[in-house]
Amino acid sequence: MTECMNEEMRDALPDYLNGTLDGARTAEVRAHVAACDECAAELELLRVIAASAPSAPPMNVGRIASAIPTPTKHGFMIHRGGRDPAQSPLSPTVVPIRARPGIWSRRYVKIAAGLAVVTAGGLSLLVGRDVLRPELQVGQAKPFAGATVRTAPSVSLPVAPAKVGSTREAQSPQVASVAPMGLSLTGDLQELSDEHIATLLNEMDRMDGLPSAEPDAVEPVVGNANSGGQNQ
Amino acid sequence: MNPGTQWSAEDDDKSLIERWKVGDSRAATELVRRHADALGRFAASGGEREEIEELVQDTFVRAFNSIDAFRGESSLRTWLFTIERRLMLDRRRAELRERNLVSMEGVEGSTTHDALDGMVARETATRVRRALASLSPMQREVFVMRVEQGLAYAEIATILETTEGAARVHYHNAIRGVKELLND
Repeated sequence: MTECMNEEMRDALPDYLNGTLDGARTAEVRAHVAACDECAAELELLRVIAASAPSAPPMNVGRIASAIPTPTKHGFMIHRGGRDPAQSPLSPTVVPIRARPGIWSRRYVKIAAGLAVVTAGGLSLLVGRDVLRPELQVGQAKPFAGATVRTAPSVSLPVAPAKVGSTREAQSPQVASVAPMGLSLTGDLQELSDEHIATLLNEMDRMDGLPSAEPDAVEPVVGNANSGGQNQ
Repeated sequence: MNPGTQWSAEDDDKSLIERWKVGDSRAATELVRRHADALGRFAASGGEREEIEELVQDTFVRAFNSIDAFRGESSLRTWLFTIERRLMLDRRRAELRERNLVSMEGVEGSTTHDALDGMVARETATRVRRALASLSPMQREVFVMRVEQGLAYAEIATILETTEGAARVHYHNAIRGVKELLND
């Protein structure tokens, strides 16, 4: 048996036999086979081979489908049946399948979550320390209304009259005020003028129980053991 | 979709798979209806003689249990053929281990299941099957898939994990060998 030299047509013979070619291609192959004895003989051989193919028994679609698992919302599959419906249990068998890895089991998600926790914790600490509020930084602090620092509940310090009319106090009257309970400071010490601070210091010097001056320094005298332990 | 509703041709395999994933078991039944017979013929052409339906069932079960591995690069039927072929190989290896048979070729060459009527036709079929059995396993698989299953070279290459060019060469070598054997 000789072979046709047109390999393209020979390649198309199985498709022509199985009817998988489109209309135009089918007509083309049919015309070629009609004119080519080699291809006609080969097509007949293929037809015999295909006809001699062992037949398969009819498939029981319902029985096959009964063995196919069904996905559930929880990632499990229910085995709806077995090979023989007569032998299958009345209640479905829950068969766990290889669970899909959850999103929290992925390594990069874990790392990102850890970084988020660390970042949130750090930010909360910074906010608590007012680090991120530049208006509250040293030298730029604004008077905080309502925040009253009482130096001592039992001490009442009169405010010097000289500073009442000062420009600084006129701009920020809450810097120093006389509260019923005593001298009250509101805001920051940076808001006080030099005169105000000097007045406060003078008043504090006059307070009882407070030292008027720093204690004298005691200088230790290192004596010689041979001098009998007398200090000079 | 109501239980009695027929699936339309527009419901391709991928959409049925998606419906099955959300719990529609009838989509799986439709997929079985579409491909079970082809899988049965594929198994028979590959030399399977017993428990073909069980093989087809195992193919579907394995396919649906690993449906995420189906990327849609080939047709679902081609993917099913690939799974079934591996199951067939596993089954034959198990049989060879259990029965200590001489070889797979001997088993296939000794069996003739023809569908032709008449003595002459059966004799022709017997000669053809013997000729096929004398081919190399790869040539025989390619030839059977091409002629009896009507698969394209691309599909055959996918199933056999080879190239289209190699599949084409195997086919032409196979038909040349069959012609020579039948002419002897």
